[in-house]
Amino acid sequence: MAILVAPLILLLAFLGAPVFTLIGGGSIFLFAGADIDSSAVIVEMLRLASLPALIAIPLFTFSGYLLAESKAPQRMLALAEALFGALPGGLAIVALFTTALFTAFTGASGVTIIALGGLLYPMLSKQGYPEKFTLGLLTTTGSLGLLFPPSLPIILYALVAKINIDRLFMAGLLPGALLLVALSVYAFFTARSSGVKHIPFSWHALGKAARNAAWEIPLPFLIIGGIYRGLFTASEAASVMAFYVLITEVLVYKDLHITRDVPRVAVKSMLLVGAIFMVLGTALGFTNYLIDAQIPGKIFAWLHAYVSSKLVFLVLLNAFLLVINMIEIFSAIIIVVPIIVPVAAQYGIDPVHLGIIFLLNLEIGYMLPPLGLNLFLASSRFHRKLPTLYRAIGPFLLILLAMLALVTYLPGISLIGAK
Amino acid sequence: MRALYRAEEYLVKAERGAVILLIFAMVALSFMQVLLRLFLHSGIVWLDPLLRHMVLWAGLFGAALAARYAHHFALEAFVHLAPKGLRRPLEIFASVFTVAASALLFYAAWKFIRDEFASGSVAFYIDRLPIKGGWVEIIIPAAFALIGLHTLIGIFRPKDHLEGPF
Repeated sequence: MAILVAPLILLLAFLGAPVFTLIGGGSIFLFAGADIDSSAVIVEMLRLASLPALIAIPLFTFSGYLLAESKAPQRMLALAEALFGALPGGLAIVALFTTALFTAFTGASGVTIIALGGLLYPMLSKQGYPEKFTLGLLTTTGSLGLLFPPSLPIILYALVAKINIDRLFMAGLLPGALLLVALSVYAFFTARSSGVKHIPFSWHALGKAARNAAWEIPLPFLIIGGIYRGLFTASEAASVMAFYVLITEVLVYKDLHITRDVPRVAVKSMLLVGAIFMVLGTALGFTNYLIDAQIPGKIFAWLHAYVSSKLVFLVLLNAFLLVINMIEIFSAIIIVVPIIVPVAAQYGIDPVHLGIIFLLNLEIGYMLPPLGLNLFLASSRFHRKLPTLYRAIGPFLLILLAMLALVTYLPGISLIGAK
Repeated sequence: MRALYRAEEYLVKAERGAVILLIFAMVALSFMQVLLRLFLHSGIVWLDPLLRHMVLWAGLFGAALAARYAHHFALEAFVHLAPKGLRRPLEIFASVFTVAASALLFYAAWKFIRDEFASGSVAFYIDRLPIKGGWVEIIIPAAFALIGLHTLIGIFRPKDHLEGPF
């Protein structure tokens, strides 16, 4: 039965049918084949109301969108520039760190390139960074920071894979930091070889930028620190952040108006949440069917006949994930994770380690030619043709792939933080 | 047709209103719960299931709005690569398929809700007041009906009308 349905679903997907209709329709069809009433799909969907950590998704998305619509990105950028601008390659490193933070806090939904890219592009060009480097850097930054809490893909992965969100948050910190360092080193050498001008360091500018961002500086410490110290859970952190951001952006900075802007942003953020929930809700029944039909076990048995080594499996898994993630990332997490987690477990791969591999793949999938989302966003934001961007991201892609290899084959990088 | 679009706009207004109210309530109530736990080491027992159902309602109203503003996840990259003349037929095809799938899912949800009401199941208690499962879960068939409706109207809606107010 599934053999018949799968190609049909794929065909419909390529024709542009929404993912939730394919999964929802597909599971009703599969349930009918197994003589189960279609209302069972809805019983599974109702599990959306019994996942205690699910509230983290709407609250983090809402507060991330609030931050993105306020002037927080400009303040953050000014502060980072005052701090690191004087270093060689400083401005590029500023771009890396601010976009990583911004992406983590806005749920990696593609707003980084739109919101920060437009600010950073002229800054970097004026400093004399080569055009190709600037384009590559800004295209990469669209998904950088996906491994840092509280990014939406981490939360979604943990929910779907049924592992502790806080543990996955901790596991992502070191790989994410290493990636930032590797890219910063590349930026440092590029800046030196192309003779980029320095920005003189100024205590005055630093003081001004710090005063302007005084209310936003504590936020990452409060959220990330609070989770790491065990002060609150991920969903409580989401609630604290939503409340804090609402108060500071509306009452302190007055960037957003409580009746003119906040409702608009609330609705906008719930469009994304609604789209995620539909796929998640319909997929809960679908993946349950696959697990009842012992599909992961069959995949493992079939795969194990050809691939007995854990390493080869990981190489194949990475190749598979890169292709899948290039297509649509949230759906990829929801559909693929429940199938590969049991398969990978049979190969003796820690689910937390698998999570980091998966998320790093996502990060790369965002910028992988020809279909990565970052490329399309950067193309429309910077008015460049796609092939120009394909060439520009080359070196960045290599760094990310090297990092992926490192994270894949040295589980310790991910697991050391999750102990 | 014009009257239909206007009627849909009222519906959209109501959905937006519900989403906004739910988000404000979720932020306030969940933050209160965090404060209660941190400072008084207590909490309101029924607030957690209430919040979880508010998340469901907010998300599904969001899903209805996502149908209105064409925000549901789909593999658009391939459609973008298709020749211009094929795009409109593909769009109509995807919409018709969405309407059909929503109808199917609505029927499944309707059967489920009917059974929930018949069995008189209780989702959770607010103090001693039982909250009927059927009522809190009615958002599921409603969401599929709204998604189907917005998508159906979307087939005829002129293009300039499609952009969201964002």
